[in-house]
Amino acid sequence: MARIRSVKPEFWDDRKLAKRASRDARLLYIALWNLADEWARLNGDPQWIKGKLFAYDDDLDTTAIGKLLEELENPALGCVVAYEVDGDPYLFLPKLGGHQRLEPEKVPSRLPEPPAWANGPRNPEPPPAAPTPPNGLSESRADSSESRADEVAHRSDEPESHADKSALLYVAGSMEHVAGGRGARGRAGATPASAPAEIPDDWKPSDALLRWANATYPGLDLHFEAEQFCRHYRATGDRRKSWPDQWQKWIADSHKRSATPARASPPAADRRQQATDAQFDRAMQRAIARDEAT
Amino acid sequence: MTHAETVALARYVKACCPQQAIDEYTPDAWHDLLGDLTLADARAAAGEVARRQPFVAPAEIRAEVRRIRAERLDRAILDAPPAELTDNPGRYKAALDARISQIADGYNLLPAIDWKEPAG
Repeated sequence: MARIRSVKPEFWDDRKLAKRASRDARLLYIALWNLADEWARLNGDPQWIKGKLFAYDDDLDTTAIGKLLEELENPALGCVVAYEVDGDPYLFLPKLGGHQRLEPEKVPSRLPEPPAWANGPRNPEPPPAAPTPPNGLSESRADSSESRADEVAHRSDEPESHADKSALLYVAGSMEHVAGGRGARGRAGATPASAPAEIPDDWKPSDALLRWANATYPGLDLHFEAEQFCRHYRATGDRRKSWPDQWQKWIADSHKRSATPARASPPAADRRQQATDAQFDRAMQRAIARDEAT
Repeated sequence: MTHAETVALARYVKACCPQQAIDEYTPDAWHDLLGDLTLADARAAAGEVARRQPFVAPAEIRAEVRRIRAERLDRAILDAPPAELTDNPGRYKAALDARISQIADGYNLLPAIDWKEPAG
C-alpha cells in the first residue's frame, strides 16, 4: 500500500547522491519511499515498480528501472539494498528512517526481512563515533553526510548486523542519508548509539547489573524485576538511550516502592463520609450538652 | 424540638440531600429557625421537600409543616369541647386549642369501631 512521504529540503543538498546517482535514479529513490512499508521494505520486481511509479513513461522499461535501481544499490550510497527470498526480489531502504518517521512497531511488515541480517546478532554493535570537529559545528553538512554515507556503505557489506525490529530502528533511525537529517539537528558529535531505541527482544540485565542490584538494593526479586522490566518496555514500546541505566532506575524505583509501606488510604467517598460523620458527632455532643443545660 | 433532635433532623436532610452544604454548626442555626416544630413534623416536611428538589431550606420545612398541619385539620372533624366548659370561656378556648393542636400534630386517632367494656 502506498504511503504519503515527505521530502526534506536537505535531500537536494546531498552532493554525494547527486554525483553518484542520475536524476531519474533520484526520482526513483524518492518514489520508492511511497512504496516502502514501515519497515522500509518493498517489492523489488522492476516490472512492478515500473507499473506503480512510471506507468505513463513509455521511455522507461523494466530494464531501465533495473539500471536505476543498480545505481541506488551502489554501496557507496547505500540507498537501496536488494535481496531475494524464495526467488522473489525485494528491496530494503536502510536510510528511509532518516527521511521519514517510521513506526514499525505499529504495523508488521508483510514482506520478509532481509535474510542476511536475519542471521546476524540481534543487537548490532554501534558504529564508531564520528570524529567531533574541534569547534563542534564547523564541519559542513555535506561532509558529515559523506562520512555517514560511508559508514552505511561499510555496514551494508557487513552481514552480521540488524536482525530484529530494534536493529531496524537503529539503522533507519540513526543513520542519516543526507546532511541536515535527524542527527544533524542534534548535538554535534553525537553518536548514533546515543539515539533512543526500543528495548531489544533479548535484552536482559547482565551479570554485572544483577550483582549491582543485589549489592545496592538487597532483598529484591531480581528475576521477577527483570521479567517485569522487559515486559513493561516491550509492551509500552518506550525508547531509551541506555537500557542498563534504565534498569538501574527501575531497580531503585522498585526498592523505593517496596520500602515505603502502602498506606491504607480510604477512597475519597469514604473520607468525605467520615468527615461528615465527625461533624455531626461534634454537633450532637454540643446539642446534648445544651439540652442538658436547659 | 430539642437541640439533639435538630441535629438528627439536619443529619436526615444531609442524607436526603448529599449535595447540600451542612456543617457542624448548621443544626445550631436550624434550631433557632425550627426549634418550635416537632421533630416528626419537621422530618416529614423535610422528606416531602427533598422529594421535590435537591436542596432543603429551613423556610421550606416550615412552609411544608404548615401545609401538613393544615391538611390534617382539614381532614379532621373538630369535636366541640365538653358542654360543661361553655360557661368558662378560658377553659373552653384552651380545650379547643388543645384539640386543634392534637389534630394538627397527627394524634387524631378515631376508633375503627365503637368499643365497649365487656359486661361482667
